[in-house]
Amino acid sequence: MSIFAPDKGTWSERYRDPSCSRAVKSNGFMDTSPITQADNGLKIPALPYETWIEIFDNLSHGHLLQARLVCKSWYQMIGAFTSSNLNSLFGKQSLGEGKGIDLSKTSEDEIGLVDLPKFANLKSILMPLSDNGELFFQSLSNLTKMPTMHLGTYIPVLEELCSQNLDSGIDCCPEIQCNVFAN
Amino acid sequence: MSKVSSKKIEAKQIDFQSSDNEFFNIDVQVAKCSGRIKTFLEDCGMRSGDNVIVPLPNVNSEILRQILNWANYHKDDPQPNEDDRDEEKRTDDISLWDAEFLKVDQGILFHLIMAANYRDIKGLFDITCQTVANMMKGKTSAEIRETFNIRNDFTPAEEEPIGRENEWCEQQ
Repeated sequence: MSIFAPDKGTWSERYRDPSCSRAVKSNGFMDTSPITQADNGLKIPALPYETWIEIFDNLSHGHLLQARLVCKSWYQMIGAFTSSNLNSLFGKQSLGEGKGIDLSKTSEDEIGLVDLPKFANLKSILMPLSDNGELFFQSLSNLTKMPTMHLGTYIPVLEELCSQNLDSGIDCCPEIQCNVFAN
Repeated sequence: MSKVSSKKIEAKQIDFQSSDNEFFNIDVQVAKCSGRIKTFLEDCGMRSGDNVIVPLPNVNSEILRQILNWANYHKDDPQPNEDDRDEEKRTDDISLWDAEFLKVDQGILFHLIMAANYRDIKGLFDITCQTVANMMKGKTSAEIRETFNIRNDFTPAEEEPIGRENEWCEQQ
């Protein structure tokens, strides 16, 4: 009889180490998912960060809006999730799947590289704050090609911009962050 | 270890040992739904006649029985191709059988996700993740917290602007 012990790490393969969930915890994520007792006596395990990301990937933009209000770690994760969608823009040809992208921390050089109309399923965009709205003008020239997009910003200079573009479905919102949403 | 044989015939059966020391004798075909087990069996070159026991110290018998039930039903499904692992093949349809299979409490569901992730059982991982996502759909943040027993750690001052932003988004 041979006994193999794959869980002792005696053989090489792609190793999905569950300890990464502990590493995530040390970064402050997932502290709010306590191990709780289920009805049948089984403990409900805390899912690792990357698993929640997989779960969030099944949700539409509207559902993610509610989910990010659940707790701080989810807010961070969903922010990181939309950012990681952005990061994939620069490497991949196929861009059709992203539901939301966060451009708020993107440098001016990079933002020009984002070809927004390539995102067939895009539901939301977070835009960077900018004193003069210059960055915004560049991006907006792409956005106006997309139907049913709504845009809001508090940046004064952009109110003028918005009103100019109302006919193309762009709307204003007095918010701190600048959001562009598809219907 | 049994005597090395030149025969390269694969073992047909394999034993899993759960964390609570229950043994499950199953077809190799079923066991191979796990990417990890599949690689393991291929790396080790199992021979006919070998009596192979694979201990699974982080899966208890209840969860293992559920996984094997799922794997047995799906054993003839086409294997996911390595190349299109990263491709999105999402659909909102979970088959009727799977939907019935996933009518379990949250503890079991989360354990299934953990095991499917760790054991690289892609089909099971996808539908369990989708099921958790479905548990959030149409719920407010407060209802989601209640569903997953999560404490709200936002202060009202932190929560308010995000809520306001959401309100605006939902009006659009």
